[in-house]
Amino acid sequence: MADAECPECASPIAIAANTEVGEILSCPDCGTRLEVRALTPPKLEKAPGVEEDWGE
Amino acid sequence: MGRRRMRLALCYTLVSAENKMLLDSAKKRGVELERIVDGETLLAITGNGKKEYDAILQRSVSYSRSQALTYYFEQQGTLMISSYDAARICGDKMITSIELAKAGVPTPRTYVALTPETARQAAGKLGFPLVMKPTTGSWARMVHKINDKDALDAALESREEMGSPSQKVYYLQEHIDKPGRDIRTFVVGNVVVAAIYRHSTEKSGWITNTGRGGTASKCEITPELAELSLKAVSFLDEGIYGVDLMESANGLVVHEVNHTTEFRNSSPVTGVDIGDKMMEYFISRAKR
Repeated sequence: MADAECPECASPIAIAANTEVGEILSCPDCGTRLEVRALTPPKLEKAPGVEEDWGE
Repeated sequence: MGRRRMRLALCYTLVSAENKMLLDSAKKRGVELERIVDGETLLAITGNGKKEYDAILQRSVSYSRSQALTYYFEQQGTLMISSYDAARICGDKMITSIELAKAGVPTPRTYVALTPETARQAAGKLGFPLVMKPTTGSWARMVHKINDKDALDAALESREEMGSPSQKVYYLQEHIDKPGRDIRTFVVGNVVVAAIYRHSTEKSGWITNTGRGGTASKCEITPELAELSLKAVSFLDEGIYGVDLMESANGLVVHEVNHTTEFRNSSPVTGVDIGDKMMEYFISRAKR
């Protein structure tokens, strides 16, 4: 498990070993939805907002 | 000479919980599943059109991206689950309703209006309360229960102020007085593999969508439920679908069919590994 930093509030976020690039995480401190952009080293970016045509 | 390895792929927008389950299932089955991230894919429209993949499980969460990618790969000869035609029908509620009605599937009375004036005419035919939805997009966004004329006028004004022309296509449907829940069945190939009740809660309001705070519980797959679910996908290419039904005073009615159905909350309550059922089916279709 590695740590990354929330790009919004700078809190440390634990990245589990089975995390995938493209996965969405929530910052436990500020609640921002974050997309995993890289794993080595871990890099998080604010997740894209839901678009009008998204959904089932 | 050895056999050429099949190229199978999962196409997605983000690695959702469902996509992670599908990737895990493929891994457990020893199947190498390539990944196509829709937003990172460049489509060579005037390229050689050579087939790149044998089969793709299409899980793009964006209807527009899904349509573009599915058409592109299908024209190369790739098996797409779901197919372009199926996605076109399921991704547009108006087309779904037309096809359900044509197939003789019980479905709520529905009108589509293209202006606020004709939307009011539709309300006159349906009466209140009624349900108004956009024809595309989902997770129950902009899905409104309209209780009276004032509420309808307010909703129409809001929609008219929106920039998107698609929000000005008004899909109006009779409100079914359901018992605080509806039903989602999961059709994989020709089999209904699982079913859930989706319950509305204080958080979700009258909506039952689990992504909006609704909760899921197991629903028994009765012969009637199975038969109606299969009838509701009978006009679609064989694939993987989520069928939404409501319990009306006159029996079950189908209101939606989904071509990229979500299942993260459904596997735990049904005890069925729905992602694995989907992956098993996808692999078997690719080998046919």
